[in-house]
Amino acid sequence: MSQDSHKAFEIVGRLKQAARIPDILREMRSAGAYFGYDAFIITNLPAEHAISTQGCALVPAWPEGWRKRYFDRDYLRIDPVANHVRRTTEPFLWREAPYRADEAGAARVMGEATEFGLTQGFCVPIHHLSGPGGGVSFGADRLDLSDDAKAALHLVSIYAYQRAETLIREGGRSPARKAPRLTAREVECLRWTAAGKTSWEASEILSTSQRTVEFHLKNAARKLDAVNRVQCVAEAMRQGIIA
Amino acid sequence: MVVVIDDDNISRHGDLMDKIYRFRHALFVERLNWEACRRPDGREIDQFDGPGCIHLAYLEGAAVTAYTRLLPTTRPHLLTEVYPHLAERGPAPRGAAVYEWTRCGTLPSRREGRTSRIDPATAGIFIAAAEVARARGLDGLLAQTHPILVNRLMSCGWDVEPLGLPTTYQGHSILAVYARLTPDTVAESHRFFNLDAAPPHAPRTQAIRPSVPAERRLHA
Repeated sequence: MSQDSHKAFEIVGRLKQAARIPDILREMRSAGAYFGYDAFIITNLPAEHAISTQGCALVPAWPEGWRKRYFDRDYLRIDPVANHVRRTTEPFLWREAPYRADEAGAARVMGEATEFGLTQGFCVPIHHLSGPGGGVSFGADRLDLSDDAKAALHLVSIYAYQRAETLIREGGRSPARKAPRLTAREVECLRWTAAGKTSWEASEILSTSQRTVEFHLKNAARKLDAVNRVQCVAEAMRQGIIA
Repeated sequence: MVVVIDDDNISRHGDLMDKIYRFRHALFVERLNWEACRRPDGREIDQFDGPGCIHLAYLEGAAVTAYTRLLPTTRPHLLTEVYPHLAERGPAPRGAAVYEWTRCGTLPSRREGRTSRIDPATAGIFIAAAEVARARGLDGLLAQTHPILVNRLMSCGWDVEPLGLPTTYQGHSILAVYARLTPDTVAESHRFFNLDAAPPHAPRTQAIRPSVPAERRLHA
């Protein structure tokens, strides 16, 4: 048995026992040190008529800047790697994912990925249900994988996807993101906003300036990924940060 | 509905066995190009068919639309005779409580496309395999399958252990696994395929152990 095989079986054994998403993250990051990838993602593909791709990722361990851009701009829809996953059951290198010269969006995604150190990669399709399926994708500046290493990552991907999907489904929540940490002041300002107070009224109640209240609310919105005050309050309630 | 055929009733199912062998030829030889299995009489039978096998056939009316075969591992079977190199990690589980899950397939025109729902015939066979394994008190099933199906096995509640790495056999991707039965496998298989009603099984034969009546109660 090769060393890659041995490594794969070890990783699979631990993935099966993973109790939380961070356990999967840790296992896959350590596998990266061995196999040579810098980043990875475990994701579903969006259904045909899905409005956004925000809910697709199960474990989006891309570099943060790339992750944000990738999902804010719905790159999952135009990424040639993601589109190739729909067409095949076999793992492939990113450079084997075809796109036409006139598909500017596809070329842009591949090009922008290199800005974040993801120039080469390997992708394993997962089709466990009828539907669009998903995949596990590995990226690096340089990724040289022997056939054995590819087979090892193929096996690891099957179990990483399964465990992530199970944990998230049983946990009843959407993607694995770090829970946002709001400061006490931010929470306070949100509470008063939720109670219908303007930022001026809240500043009077909290004996501070209106500018300060708005500063706290803007930070809260950023942490909760909200575009306005209404969404910020809604998100805070959904996550149980305010009642 | 699923018909389970084994040593105790195979003599009463001559017609159905003929349909089964022709189904296997149509699917595995004609459709999937397993040329080594081609036979001039159009009935796909190999050296493992015979006493001890369990055949599961999904019938729609008189036609077989899905099928699978369980082989005892107390005798030579696929993993020991045809591709032993797939078991990279060492000797695979075998014994009276381990069968090998082989020849699992659904009629070509009925196989799910990328966007359609899973075919009820496929669902019926998968569920039946779990129910037969449980009815006979098995520990689990060996399987050599396309890697893309392993997640489905796990989603059906099997505890799947890899016996090697994904590789190829005669041009097809393949992975050898051991699917261990858990207390949840039958229920999870039903849930996965979304069949809440009692599965329509043919009348049980004496070959299935007396735990069957209890099983029927579970489905009610």
